[in-house]
Amino acid sequence: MAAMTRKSSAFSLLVLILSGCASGPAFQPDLPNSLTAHINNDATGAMLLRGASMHTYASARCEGEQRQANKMSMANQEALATVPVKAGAPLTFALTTLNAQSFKGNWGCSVTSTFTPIAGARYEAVLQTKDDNRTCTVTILDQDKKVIPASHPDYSCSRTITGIVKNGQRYAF
Amino acid sequence: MNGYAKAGKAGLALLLAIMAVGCSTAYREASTGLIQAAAAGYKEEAAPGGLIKVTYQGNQWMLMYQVQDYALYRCAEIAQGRGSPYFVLYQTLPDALQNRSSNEVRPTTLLGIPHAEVYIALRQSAAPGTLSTAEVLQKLKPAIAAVAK
Repeated sequence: MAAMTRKSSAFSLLVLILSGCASGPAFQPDLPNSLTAHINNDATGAMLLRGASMHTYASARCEGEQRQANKMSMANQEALATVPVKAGAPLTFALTTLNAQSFKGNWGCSVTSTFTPIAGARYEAVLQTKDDNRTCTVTILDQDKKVIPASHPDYSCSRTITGIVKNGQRYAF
Repeated sequence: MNGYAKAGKAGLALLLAIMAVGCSTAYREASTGLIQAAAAGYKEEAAPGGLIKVTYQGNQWMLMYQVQDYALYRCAEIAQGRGSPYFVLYQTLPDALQNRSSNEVRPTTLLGIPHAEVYIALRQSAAPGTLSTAEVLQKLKPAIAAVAK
């Protein structure tokens, strides 16, 4: 009985720790002038951690980084966060996955995109990884599911644990 | 003060110096000697055909565009220092051989750290593909000055 209580306490502590790692605005897909990020992470295998982050930038040159969301425990397909957008002003954002199997390997993929929102629109950005995160792409859709043109630099603005990484390509450590 | 204490203080001072130089994102010349590996900065050397190879090594605190701007600014500084009002920028030696000029530096990464390496040819007059030394300096000076040393 005491062993069961200890196990239960340890599990509760782990849940608390993982919940504590999550940060960022809630998922509110119906909010006008907003962008909701979705992560479709195809990483396979038993994970110690499967997470993702979202950062926005003051310019396409990666200046003025702001962390919008950071989840350390995610399903393969999950909404990450909804952030407000400013109509008429180009928005640069980065979506990055992180998969950890500890000594077996840790890896992820990151994409930075820039697009210009229009007034009143609701956008979705879907990060899709492929071949176990070997590559990844972001598709931006409006509320009518129309694909919105976006530009993608050679390197992602998001700084991973391995430093600056190529846009849409796997990093590992 | 005994020898160990003196050596310890000297070691700490050296470590602090390396950290101070290594963490800076300011425009600077690459350091040589002991702290070379830790420091960001520019370097140049003569390259075949009268070209000048210009490199800017960033550090983990620098953004890609900073290395891009800093490398181009250094190219213009070199041109100005050698009395050339114009210069031609090449990304690689093969580009220079085929006269495929460029109007911007395209940085890459080395182990996740931004790095730029280009070649320049100095020119006395404007021609297709040349960059104006004065214009580059004027355009980039605010960005260089904005990051205090």
